[in-house]
Parts: sequence; structure tokens; C-alpha cells
Amino acid sequence: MIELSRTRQGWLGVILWAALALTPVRRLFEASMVGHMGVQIPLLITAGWLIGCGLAIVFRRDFGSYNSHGVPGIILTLFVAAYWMLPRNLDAALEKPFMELIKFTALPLLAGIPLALSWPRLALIGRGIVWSNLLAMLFVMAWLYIESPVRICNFYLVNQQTLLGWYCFKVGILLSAFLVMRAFTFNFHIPHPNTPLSGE
Amino acid sequence: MRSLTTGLLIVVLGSWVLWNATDGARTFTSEGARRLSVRSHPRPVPPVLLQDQTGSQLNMQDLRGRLVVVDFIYTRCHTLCAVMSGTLATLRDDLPTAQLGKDVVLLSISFDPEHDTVKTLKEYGARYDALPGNWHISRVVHSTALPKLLHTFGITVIPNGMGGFKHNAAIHVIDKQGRLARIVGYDDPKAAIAAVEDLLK
Repeated sequence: MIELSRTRQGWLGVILWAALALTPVRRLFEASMVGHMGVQIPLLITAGWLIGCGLAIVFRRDFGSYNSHGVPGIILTLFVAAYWMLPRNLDAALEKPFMELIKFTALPLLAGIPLALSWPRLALIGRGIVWSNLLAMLFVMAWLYIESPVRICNFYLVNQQTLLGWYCFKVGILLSAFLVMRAFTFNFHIPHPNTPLSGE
Repeated sequence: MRSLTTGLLIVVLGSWVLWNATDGARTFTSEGARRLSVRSHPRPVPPVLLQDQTGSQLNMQDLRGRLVVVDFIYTRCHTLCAVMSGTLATLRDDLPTAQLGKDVVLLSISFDPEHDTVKTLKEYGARYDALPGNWHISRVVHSTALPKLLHTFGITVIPNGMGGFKHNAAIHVIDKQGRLARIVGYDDPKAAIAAVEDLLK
């Protein structure tokens, strides 16, 4: 694995964020449901997460008392992610530039950054809940999108939904395989929140 | 303590936002949202000038006093539009003859006025044995009026890059006061009849 310094991770996040906002890139991802929900939204969260890794050095002491064990931060991430999983909000982002702007700011700033700042503080059980939630959601979405006879988004056709359903299914399988592998190789040692972060 | 307050604040705010974004956990799609919205708050339909398959003009406002069952189509469409207009045909066949044209009028509006001329509208109507007296197959006279009309009904139309369009489909019922009052599934004649009977009361 390539180890990047935290400052570099932060800048990489900013670059990713800016790249995703470029009109041709936006058009490319938003042309399909898989690109919009399956690639663009996760990448926007990733951009925020990278920026958050950079900011972790700055914010570690400041937000600590408001974010004990990372629980409030993770809850914020889950709420913001849930909001952008509602099909009507995807439609709204495509229809109204204002909602598109909200999407591009909320996902990195209110989902990605809190995730990066909270995940290292989260207890093992909390991480387990997040992972199992994500897996369950992927398979439920797969089932829903493959089986739904009703069009869920006005901007996408039913065949796009089926593609997204299979995409969720494949990502779910890959993620399960990864977690099973981790379960056998994990050393069950979580660094204490006050352990100095590399790159400081 | 601070964390608990922050956490609770996030949960309350987040739940409030999600509750509003789903109209109280009742709808998750924009299609569902517009159906709920017109049911609780019927929307006045703008006065738009239309031209039907006979070439004569009619204003949507002139249809007041009767129920108008509307679908949005383009005549080259052989998928969704065919199902929608099939539903209208079933509705016409199932409604009492005395009501047709008098209490209830069917109206198909093309969102492709450039291609859909009076001639193609007439051909489209012939596929469903549409009689001009009770089923107007129409297009807007001034294409500038189209965006507002589509917006009022909540119809999204996007060119599909192959000469056709992507669009959402439903059967719309305008009440006697000229307000869009019900939206039902495009392939559900029973729901359409129920909506008409309900509004005729």
C-alpha cells in the first residue's frame, strides 16, 4: 500500500473534489444511475474523507469533546448519506442547480469529513455496526433496484435501475469477501484516540 | 455530555430533514411526491392554447366544468406512450357513454410539437379510435408555453439522444375547477376510473 502523508491526503481530496465538479466529469457520471449513485456520490464522500484525514491533524483536539468515540460524527455521516440515497433527491440534483450545489457541498463536508474525523475514534463494535449496515443496505438496494417494476427516478429509465441493482450486488459481494479476509487477518488492536497521528 | 448533546442534535435535525424530504416517510421518489402533492393541494392548470387532431384550437381553460383526463405523449413513442394511451382507451370504453365528452374529456398532449403535426396527431388518434368529441389528441400552439405546462404537471422530458425522449408517465385528472387533482399510474385503468368517479361526486 502506498502511504501518503496526511497533508498530501488532504490535498488529494481537494483535487478529487474539484475534478468531480468539472462539468464534463459531472455530465459523464450523471448520465447513468450507476455513475451517479454508484460512483459520483461515493467519490464525493471519499474526497471529503481524504480532506478530513488532512484536517485530522488540526481538528483532533478541538472537536474531541463534541465527538466522543466518534459516535456523533458517524451519525452525521449516516444521515447525510441516507438523504442522498433518496431517489427524489437525485432527481432534484439533476433538475435544480441549487440542489446540485447542496449535493457537492454536503457529501464531502458533512459526510466525508466527519467520517474521517470519527472513524479512528470509533470502537470496534461501532465499526462493525457501520460495516454491517453498509452491507445490508447494498443488498437491499440490489434487490429493490433489480426487482422494482416502477421507475424510481424520473431522470433514469428502468433498465438503469436494474444495472444499478446488479452493481450494488457486485459491490456487496466484493465487500463481504474483503471483510471475511480482514476478519482472519485483523489483529484486533485499535489505537487509542490519543495516539499521535503519522504526518504530524 | 457535549458529545451526547451533539449526537442528539444531529439525530433530531437529521430525522427532521429526512422526514421533510420524504413528506413524512410517505414518498421516496419524485413521482410519488408529485402524486401526493396534487392530491393534498390541487394545482391550477395554466391557460394553454392547444390544437387537436382536427386542427381546431382549444384553450385548456375552456374545458372547465368537465373532468379532463390527461396524458403526455409524443407520437413516435411506441413504449410508455402506447401503454398510457391504452389506459385512456380502456377508461373511455369503461366509462358510461353518457358521461363521455359531457362530464369527462380525454386529452393527450404532445410534448414534441415540432414533429407532431395535426396529421401525425390524427394518425396517433386513429390507433386508439379516438373521437375528437371526447378525446383530443393535441399539441401546444406556442411551444413557449410547453415548459410551464410540463412543470405544472411535474413531467420531466429529456431527449434520449436517439431522436426520442425520456419522460415520466402517468394519468392526470383535472377537476371541474380546472385544477390538477389526481395522478395515477400510467398502466392502471382501474385507478384512473376510481379517480374519475371520486372527482365526479
